[in-house]
Amino acid sequence: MSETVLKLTNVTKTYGNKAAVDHVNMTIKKGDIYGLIGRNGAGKTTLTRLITGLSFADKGEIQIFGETTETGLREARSRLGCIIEMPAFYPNLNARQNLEYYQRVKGIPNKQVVEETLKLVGLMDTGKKKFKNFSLGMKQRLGIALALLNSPDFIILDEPINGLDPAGIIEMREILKYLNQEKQITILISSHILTELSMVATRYGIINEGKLVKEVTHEELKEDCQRSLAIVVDDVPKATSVMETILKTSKFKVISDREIRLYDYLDNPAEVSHQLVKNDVRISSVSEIGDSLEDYFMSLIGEVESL
Amino acid sequence: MIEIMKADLQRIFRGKGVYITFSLFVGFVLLTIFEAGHIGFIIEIDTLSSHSDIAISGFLLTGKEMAFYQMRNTDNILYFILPFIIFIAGADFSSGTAKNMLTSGTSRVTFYLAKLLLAIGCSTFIYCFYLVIPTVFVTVRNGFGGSLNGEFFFSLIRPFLLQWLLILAVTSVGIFLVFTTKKVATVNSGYLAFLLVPTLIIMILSGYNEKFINLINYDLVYNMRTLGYFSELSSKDITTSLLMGMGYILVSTVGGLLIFRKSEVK
Repeated sequence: MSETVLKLTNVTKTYGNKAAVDHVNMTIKKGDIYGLIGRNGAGKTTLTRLITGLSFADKGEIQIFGETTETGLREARSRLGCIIEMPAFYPNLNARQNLEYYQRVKGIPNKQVVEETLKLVGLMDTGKKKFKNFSLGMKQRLGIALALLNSPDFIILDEPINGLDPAGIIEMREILKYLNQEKQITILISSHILTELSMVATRYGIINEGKLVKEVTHEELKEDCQRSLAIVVDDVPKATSVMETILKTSKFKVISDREIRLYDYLDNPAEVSHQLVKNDVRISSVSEIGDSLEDYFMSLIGEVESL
Repeated sequence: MIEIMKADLQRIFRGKGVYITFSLFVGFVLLTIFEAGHIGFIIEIDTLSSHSDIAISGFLLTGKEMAFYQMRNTDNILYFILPFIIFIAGADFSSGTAKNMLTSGTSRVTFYLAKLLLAIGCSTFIYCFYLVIPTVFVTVRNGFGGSLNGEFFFSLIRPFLLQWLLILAVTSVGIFLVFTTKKVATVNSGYLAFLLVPTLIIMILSGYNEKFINLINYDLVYNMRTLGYFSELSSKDITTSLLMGMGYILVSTVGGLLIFRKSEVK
């Protein structure tokens, strides 16, 4: 069983009468790239602020690397790297000077770490350019560099692709994959850009109005979003038999005693209906289902809001 | 903690602000030397043992007298301490870098105390520079004006230490303002108000009722100024200054830590 890196139990944070984070339960295992998805104002940043200790939960328990006490959490946080909201640095220092500052305060003995990290994020050639003159993309890269400076076991990135150009987004994606696969770093990444998250995340948490609406694995999400024919029939065994023997397909899944999902014949549903009826299977309905990630996300949020 | 202090010291010397502020401060110190002698002000000199007023003009101050002259105007340097407080601690909140420290396992108490101790170090340096440089300068030019005996040191060190304590108190209040308000503009106005407003209010109130003038004994800046007239102070005055200094340091530091430990950091 893999190590639990982060475990939140009933974590709640309220501002006035509004719950910014509402009884959130979440678990991140070692090796996960956990995508926290939510609209702007859904509670993503508040949640990351609670995890990193910038803010304090009103209720619930935060466990990082098994630690829950104040001292234990502080120790555990020394194994974290993070960017919360916008990366912040001293504006009058250049990239190297900023990282040297943190190398010193974090007591990192390896003098080469600054050069190595700058190289990794592609900021080796910024020279004397001060942080205040950096583009948004450069600031984000320096933020990543800081998050990686102390060779963390777990990094938390809040909206890290904000302000990046398409090339920068691709590079960021590659960096995250490299860190996860080569360095075995667990990653929590929050974003409202679902398609981008879907390219890196292995697990997802969908947050809306402070509540964690759903947690799914990448495979589950892929399945939920896969286009298919939802066929409601009176006799499922007979229908599956028709599919296998006459339609020559095994790309289906029995959902219930009345419903089958068929991932084949999407371009010819009439043939499916015809063969089923011909073999005395009564059909109540045939419909094409399946969402884009955005549709899936919106339908999930819509379901919650309509409750 | 020591690593944070070292890194901060290196950081502030990488910016222009510290050089500009220090240049202005050096200019100010030179001006005080010039003012104390060259223009020919009529100054009341309270030397070590004498209570007699000596009217002088021209560059007649000795090194010994210059030391006491400086101590009577020490409150001026409080305005130069403010920029250092901003460079050391305010910058972390204005740039948002405080969160980088706090998310990486640095305790809030360590962070607060590191900034406080460095600010105290800077204000101590400023105070010593303000006293020593003019004294040495004038001594080279006019002589020391007596012997560097134990009596001199005893009479100088006591007000020096008390003034230093009050400077530390003001520095602690400055750091308290930074960590509780987290806004540089508020720190600037709050710090200046702390230095100027109490005296002003006491003066206004005493205009209505003379009894209010006694409140001036509890004004930090007034206390600092009067320590330059140390030989004229009663033991009660000295005790008041001592307790005030310690009280301000204790209340502002403990209060600041308690508030900062539970506050949100943006």
